[in-house]
Parts: sequence; structure tokens; C-alpha cells
Amino acid sequence: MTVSNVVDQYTVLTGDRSKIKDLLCNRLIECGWRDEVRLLCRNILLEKGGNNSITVEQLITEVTPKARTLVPDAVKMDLLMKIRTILAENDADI
Amino acid sequence: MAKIFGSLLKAEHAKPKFLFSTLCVFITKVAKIRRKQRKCDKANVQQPSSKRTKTKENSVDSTTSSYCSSIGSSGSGSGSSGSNKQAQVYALVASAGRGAALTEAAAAAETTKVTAEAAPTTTVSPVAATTTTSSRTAGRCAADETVARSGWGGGGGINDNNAEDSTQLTKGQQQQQQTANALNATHLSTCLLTVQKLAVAVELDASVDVNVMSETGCRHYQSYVKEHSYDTFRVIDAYFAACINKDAREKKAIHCNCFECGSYGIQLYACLHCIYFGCRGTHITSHLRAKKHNVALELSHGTLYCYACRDFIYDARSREYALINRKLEAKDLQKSLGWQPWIPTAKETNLLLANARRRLVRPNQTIGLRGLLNLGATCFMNCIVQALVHTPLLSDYFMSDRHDCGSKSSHKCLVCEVSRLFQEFYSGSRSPLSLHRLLHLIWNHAKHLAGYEQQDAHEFFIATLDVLHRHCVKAKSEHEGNSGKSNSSSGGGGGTGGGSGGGSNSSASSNSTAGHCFGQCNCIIDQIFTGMLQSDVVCQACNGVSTTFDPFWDISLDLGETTTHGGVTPKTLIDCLERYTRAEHLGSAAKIKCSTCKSYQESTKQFSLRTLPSVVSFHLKRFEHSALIDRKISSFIQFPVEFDMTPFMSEKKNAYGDFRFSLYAVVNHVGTIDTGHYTAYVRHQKDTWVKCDDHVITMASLKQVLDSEGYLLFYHKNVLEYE
Repeated sequence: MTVSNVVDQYTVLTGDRSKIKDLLCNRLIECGWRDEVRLLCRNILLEKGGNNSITVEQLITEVTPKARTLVPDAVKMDLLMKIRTILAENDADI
Repeated sequence: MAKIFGSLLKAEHAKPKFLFSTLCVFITKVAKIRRKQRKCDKANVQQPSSKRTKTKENSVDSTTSSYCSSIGSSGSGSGSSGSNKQAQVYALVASAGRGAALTEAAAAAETTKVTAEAAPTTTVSPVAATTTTSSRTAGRCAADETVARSGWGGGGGINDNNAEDSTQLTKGQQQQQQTANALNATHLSTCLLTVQKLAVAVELDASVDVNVMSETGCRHYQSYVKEHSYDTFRVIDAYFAACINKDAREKKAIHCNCFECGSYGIQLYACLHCIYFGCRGTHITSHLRAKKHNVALELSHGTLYCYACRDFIYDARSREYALINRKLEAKDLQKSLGWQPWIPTAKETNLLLANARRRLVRPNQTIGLRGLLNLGATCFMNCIVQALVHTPLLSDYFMSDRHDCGSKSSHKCLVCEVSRLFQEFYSGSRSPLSLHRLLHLIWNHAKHLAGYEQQDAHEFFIATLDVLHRHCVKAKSEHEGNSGKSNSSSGGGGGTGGGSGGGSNSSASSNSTAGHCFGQCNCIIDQIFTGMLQSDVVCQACNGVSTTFDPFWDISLDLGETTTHGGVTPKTLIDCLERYTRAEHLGSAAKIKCSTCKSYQESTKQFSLRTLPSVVSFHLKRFEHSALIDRKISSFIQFPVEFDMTPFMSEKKNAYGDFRFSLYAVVNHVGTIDTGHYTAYVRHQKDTWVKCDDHVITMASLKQVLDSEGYLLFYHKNVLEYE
């Protein structure tokens, strides 16, 4: 049982997981990340995707590293704070 | 527009050591174990299954996860679930899938549940939540109770309590699968019933949108549905993707991990043909290939995946079920509905088809800019309208068409008029616009502005906000009055998709804020423009403080010489604000009754900003009306583009608050106090400024803007927070 698994289980159990996910989702939309990634996908498809020659998996492997670097630090920071608070709040319960 | 401010976000924060440091914090706090460093490293590496089994042996520690071990110990038994059980499982899946044996199974479940709850529970560990679960869920099994319980215990044991029986470890994955299978399958019928029951409750108050796009997935999915119906999908989605209730969350937390590597990973897939969870990539695909199963459900977003097509598939019926599950989850966790993809309604589809020409907004494009005709000394109105139209949050609101006041009174409603105005501004036409309808509405609702005289732009601004606010409230109350039944669900989903800051939280926060805020409602005007001013009156005798709060729409700043501090004239906006928030002696003539010492005492009064609105507007009091003389103060006041308001807040130590603002509109007045002309500088796009002089729109540089005199200054918050 690794620690990350405990964290995973715990956040799922309390429902915080889903709230964190929503927060991340909203933040990424707000900061324009989603639009940027959409544009990225579009460009790749235009480049290589003539008559459906590219699969989702290929697209994902190509986009993922770039999309990761596009996530603004502020969003990461925000999320980190949120996770910290949640874990600190529930410190006693674990 | 949100994007503009989003791009401002890219800022000074040091790059966090993201996952790693979280885990470190967590480890030190929670698990006081020997191999801190080792575990930390391990957490970042996904372990192959065999290796994982070995390391588990070492890392057994009771403090690691007390609630998990409690499950393990509660049923530390056999794990001897064999192949016949597997068969039983599949039979149940099949029967539940066809819905034939549904009622019987449910009835059986009900009775066993009762007996299990009456019987003494087999609690071992003091952690209440999960031990009760284990007994309760065990009792709920429609199948043989003892088998089910041992099955549960076996599963838990393998997961977490490896020290007890090393032989279990060697069997490892296989058993884990089977026991988890047993649990899932025997509950399937019960779960389905729960989901359906809950769904009915939701459907009553929020009817499912009739989907105009008839997406039917792929042919593999269609044949899958023909064979298995939607029930498996519904249950898996409700329990492992959306987690509709506490029971579902417990099940997900315990069972939903990759059958290959045990990770609770970022993206898990659930096979919809059999009971199998696997990580994205090879884990799930190898399963699908080996078993010749086609359809899997991606659990973090609830998307269907077809292995035969190698693609995600979209099915309208499934999406409806998924939406119901998301609503149930939101209700259960008391959160707002997360982001939902926009599915156009019939009306929207027709509109899109009717207006086939799309506009791409590029930099240096003039869309959104229109000159405004001067209808006879109406420049005071034109400049305010330009500033309002270029308020990002306001345009978000109106461009996403969120004002709805019914068809009856819309010609009398100023909000509807402003909504039309936004349509006009962004229509692409370049000819100047005439604001006669707006003017007429203002005349009707703010009598003091009626007539053809020159008016004060600030007065007009405040009057406009007031009328807009009143009409918003009116529209809302009318809307609530006659829309008891037609409570469509489109508002929530579409609104959050629009990406506006307060939008997604507005419904949730309305109840809580109404209680303690003073006259603050939740209309768009108050959401954007209303802040709270704190005034502290300090008694000079006893230092007792009496605090009052007042809402404000703008901050009016004095420019004349100060009387108390040696006749200094403010030179910058910061000076003005410092003066505004300075403690002021009320003088010996104005004694105030102190509530602590119960007597009239001299006191000081100090303003500070309790909460800031998303848009702060400063009014520089350039027009001085005194008993002796009316004059205009034309002194130059320097104002910044970026502005941190933290020093003027009541609670400066609030670490999480971000009070940085940036300038987006400046209204200027040229002329004398009796006669003159108003112009406005507005930020059109990021770093692009334009000057609006009635019907003439010209490009402007930032320097021009900052060198202008400034009468009304509009600042927009950079980072919008949730409430």
C-alpha cells in the first residue's frame, strides 16, 4: 500500500477527489488551456490527419507532453494548495 | 475574455514540486513509518505487479492505512472463491443485464439487508465507517452471505493485510479479481435499483434534455447494447465514474484500482463486458484484446471507448444516463455540476444553421468596436456605455445570453436593452450606433437625468447600475414566479461552459450570501460591481471600536488639498486611496456616543475595503461644489495600469486573496465645470487601447491613456476567485 494509494483512496472516499477534479477542470478552462490544447490537436490533425490516418492513441501520445507543459504554474499552485488543505483538514481522521 | 485574464495568470509563482511535495507532507503527517524516503520514491513509480507484491510484504504497517486494514482484519478468512463463483457472477450479470430477475434479486437484497443490520456486526477495528460498510454490504448480497463476506475479506486481505497470510500473496492478482468480481456482480442488481430510484427523483425536477443530435456510438457499441442493455453502463458509471452516493464512493475507493498494477491511477478504464479495471494504455487494451471485449468506460470523465474502433464513442442515451448520474453526484456532495460539454438545443442548432458564416476573432480585429452617435449632449452616456461594453465579465454574461426576463416586459427592461446593445456591438457592422432606446429607458427610470442638458458621467454610471440592478431583480422574481415547472437544466451546464468566474458558483452561494450580506443580491451587477466598505469608529477615550459595513459600487476620491495633514495635494491614485483609508479625526464638535463607555466622546473614523468587487471603479472628484465656488480641479493624477489593492484591505493578512487589478477603461472630461465633452479610452484586446469619442473610434497608445486626465477609472480583477 503506497502512500499515493492511500491518498487516492481517501480522496475518493470523502468525495474530495471529484471536487478537486472539478476545480482543475474549471481552472484549465478559465486560463485558456483547454483552447490551447484544442488548437494543438487541430493543428496536428490538419498536419497528419488526412483521411483518418491518425488514431486517438497517436494523438494522445503526441499531445500529452506538450499539453502538460502548457499548464500554468498558477493552476498547479492553486491545486496544490487545495490538496494540502484537504489533507491537512482530514489529518486527524487518517 | 476569461482567456485574456487567464493569460494574465502566468505569473510569479515559483514552480512547485507538485506531486512530490504533497506526498512528502502527507507521509510525515500520516504514516510514521521507517522507510519514508523509499516509499516516497516508490509512489512516483508505477510498479509492475509481481514487484508490487514483494514490496507490500515489507511495508506492512498498521498506521499506513487504518481503515483499509480494518477491512482486511474483519474478514481475514479464506479467499477460496473458486471458478464456480465466477460462473455465478457472470450469471448474475447476465440476468441483471436483461432485467428479468431484477425484482426478485432486489427483494432478496432487501431482506438480507435487514437481517445483516440486525445481526451483531463483526467489528474488529475502531474505524467505524468502513467496518460498518463491510458488514452492511456483506449483508446486502443477494447470494450466500458467508461466501460474500469471505470474498470481501479476501479481497481486502490481499490488498492491505499481507502480513497475515503470505500464501494469499502468491495467489495475488487472480484472487483479488475474483473477489472483487463477486462483490460487484452480486450487487449489480441492487445497485441498478438504487441508481434507477435516485434517477427517478432527479428526473422529476430536472427533465432530461431531449437530445437533438442522435449520436448512437459505433456499431460495436450498438450490438453491445442490444446484447447487454444499458444497465451495466448505468451502474458502472454511477458507482465508479460519478459516485452517486457514499456507498458508491466506498466501493470505488476500495475496489477501483488497476488489476494489473494496483494503481488507482489517473485514468482507469472499466471493461463493460466483464469486471475488470485497468490503467490507460497497455493494461486495459491487453485485456480487451485478450478477452475480445470491445467496450470500456473511461472512469475519470465517463467516456465510452471502443477497442474495435480504437476510438472514443459518443452515444446519446448513455450520455443522458451519465448526466443523471452527474447530477446525483453533485447533489450528494453538495457541489455544482461539473463541466459538461455543450449540446445545442433544437433552437440553437437552427440558429447555427441559419447563420452559417462564422467569425474568427483575431488580434487587430475591430469586432466589438462601434461608434456611438451623439444625440445632443449625450457624450456622458456614450462614454459610460463604451466602458460597460468593454467590461469582460459583463460581456461574458451578455454574450452567453444569460439574461432571461420573459417576452412580456422586455421592451421596458434595461437589461434586455443592454443585451441587445452587445449584439449590436459584436454584429460586425461598423456604422455608428444610436442609443435612443437606452436613453429613453434611463429617462423613464431615472427621472433626474431626463432632459437635454449636459449630465455628469459618474451620475449616469451610478444611475445605470441602479436601474440595471433593479431590473435584474425584477426579472429574476418574475422568472421564479412563473417558472415552477419549466425549470430547465440548460442553465447550469451551459453557464459553467461559458467560463465566467462567478457563474458556476452563483446558484450554490446565493443562499449563504443572502444571509450575511447587507442588501447585496446575486444579480450580475452586484456580482461584478458591488464591494463592501468597512468603517471603524474608534473612541478616543476607551479605544472601543464600532464597525459598520456598507456596500459600494464605486470609490469617490477627493483631489483637493487635505486640511489635516499640512495641505498636501494628492498626485497619484495611490495617494488618493491612502488619504481615503487614513484614520480621520472627527473633531471635537462631532462627538459620537461610544457603545463601550456609554458617553459622547471624540473619535476617529477609518475606512478600509472589506471585500472588493471584480470591477473597481474610481471616481476622481474633479468637480468641486462648495458654498463659495464651483470649480473643476484639472490637476494631473497619475494612475497605474496594474494595481495591487492589498494595502487598502481590511484584512491584509489574508494569504490566499489576490487583489491585483488592471486598468481597462478611462473616462475623461475636457472643458469647464459648466460645459465640456466626455471621451473614453477602453482596452479593446490585450494591450490594445482605443479612444472612443462619440462616433469616432481611433487607436490609442497606453501612454496616451496614462497621460490623460482621468475622471472615472475602471479596474478589472486579474484573478477571479470562487466563493
